[in-house]
Amino acid sequence: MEQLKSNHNEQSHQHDHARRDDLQWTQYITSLAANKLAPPKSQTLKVLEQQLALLNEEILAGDSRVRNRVGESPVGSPIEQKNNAVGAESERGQSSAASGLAVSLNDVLPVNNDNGPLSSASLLGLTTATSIESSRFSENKSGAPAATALRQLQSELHQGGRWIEVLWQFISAHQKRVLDLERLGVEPSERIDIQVDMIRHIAASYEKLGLLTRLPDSLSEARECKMVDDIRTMALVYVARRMMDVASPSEIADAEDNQNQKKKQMIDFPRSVVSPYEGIQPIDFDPLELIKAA
Amino acid sequence: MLEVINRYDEVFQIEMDGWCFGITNYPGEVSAQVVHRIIRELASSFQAAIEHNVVFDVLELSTKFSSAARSLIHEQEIAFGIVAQLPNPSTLTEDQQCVLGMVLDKVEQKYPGSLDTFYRRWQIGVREAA
Repeated sequence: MEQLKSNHNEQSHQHDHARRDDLQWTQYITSLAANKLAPPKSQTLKVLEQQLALLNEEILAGDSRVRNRVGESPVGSPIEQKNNAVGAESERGQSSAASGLAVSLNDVLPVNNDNGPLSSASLLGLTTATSIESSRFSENKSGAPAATALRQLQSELHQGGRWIEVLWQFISAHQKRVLDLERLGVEPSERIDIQVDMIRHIAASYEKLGLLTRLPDSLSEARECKMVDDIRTMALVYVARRMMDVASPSEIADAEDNQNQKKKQMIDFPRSVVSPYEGIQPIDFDPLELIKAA
Repeated sequence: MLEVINRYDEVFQIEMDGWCFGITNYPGEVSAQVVHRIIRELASSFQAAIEHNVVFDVLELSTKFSSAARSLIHEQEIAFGIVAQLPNPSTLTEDQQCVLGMVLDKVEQKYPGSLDTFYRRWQIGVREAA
């Protein structure tokens, strides 16, 4: 009896915990969408994060349309080939994929419109994209061969195949933050389909916006900037250490000695006292910790 | 020989050592693009060095950067990258032009024809500015 009670308590505790997590996660996503968190360096990334947040809100809300989006994957990207291999159940009808995309293009419209000129352009582009998609799929519904529409879509996606991989990497990196399909009870095979599908939709919308070609550059640029910042931090540490090595505070403070008077003459940092600049002394510290601390 | 202003040669030396130290000890893999980005960032330091009459050795510096980047980039590529960041002679005073000439002389000796390349480039820069 007591064991049953304790089991029940444990289950309710876990449930509460999961619920609290869900609440925190929802709040996080909401604030992310409202740009309350640290904004990403690139405007493109910002828009991308907004779209991801919106898509995840949909998943959280258990919107069945998200699941309906999973359709046949175009051949081209290795990820999508993987998707084909994994998702036997992902073989859905062409019309469901098409209608899924139409829904997604409507749904990924950024809510926040205070992002400056790019955002306005994005909105305009997305609206245009949506209308193109709508017209294409309405034609599809009215009897035009679905295969043509899908082939066109596939060729578009194939062009953006490389960028889809980049986006995949981006989303994988943020997976824990923005995706928690497991908790929603989505099957693993279906999960990867949804993720690939999300990436495909975002890529498609970016392609329509004409931003897609710029996206990888902006991503790699941000990464390079971060690396250069880290290296600069280490360079500054090196300079600081050299400064400490070359002149102790007592030597600098010794104002009576004329020799020292010359030595403590400042340039950008104290003058060396004993052969300061011959060879580089090894400095014992862990750069990884330094970067983490920075 | 022009006198170095404010012992800037030491500042320059330590700054370059610092960057090399950073590249060497960076925990991840340093790509060629990152090294080139760093060299682009150093443009102001090169200009300051010339303005302070520091005749620095581009070849030595490029060797240092190349070994810091685990020989990922050839010294010549780095040397040309550095020279590309040097200020346009038309923006310098006579003394500074002399310093720049001495800096470039070593590069020209090792890689003949490099001076012509950059001279043409600077000419284009002057024409564009006009």
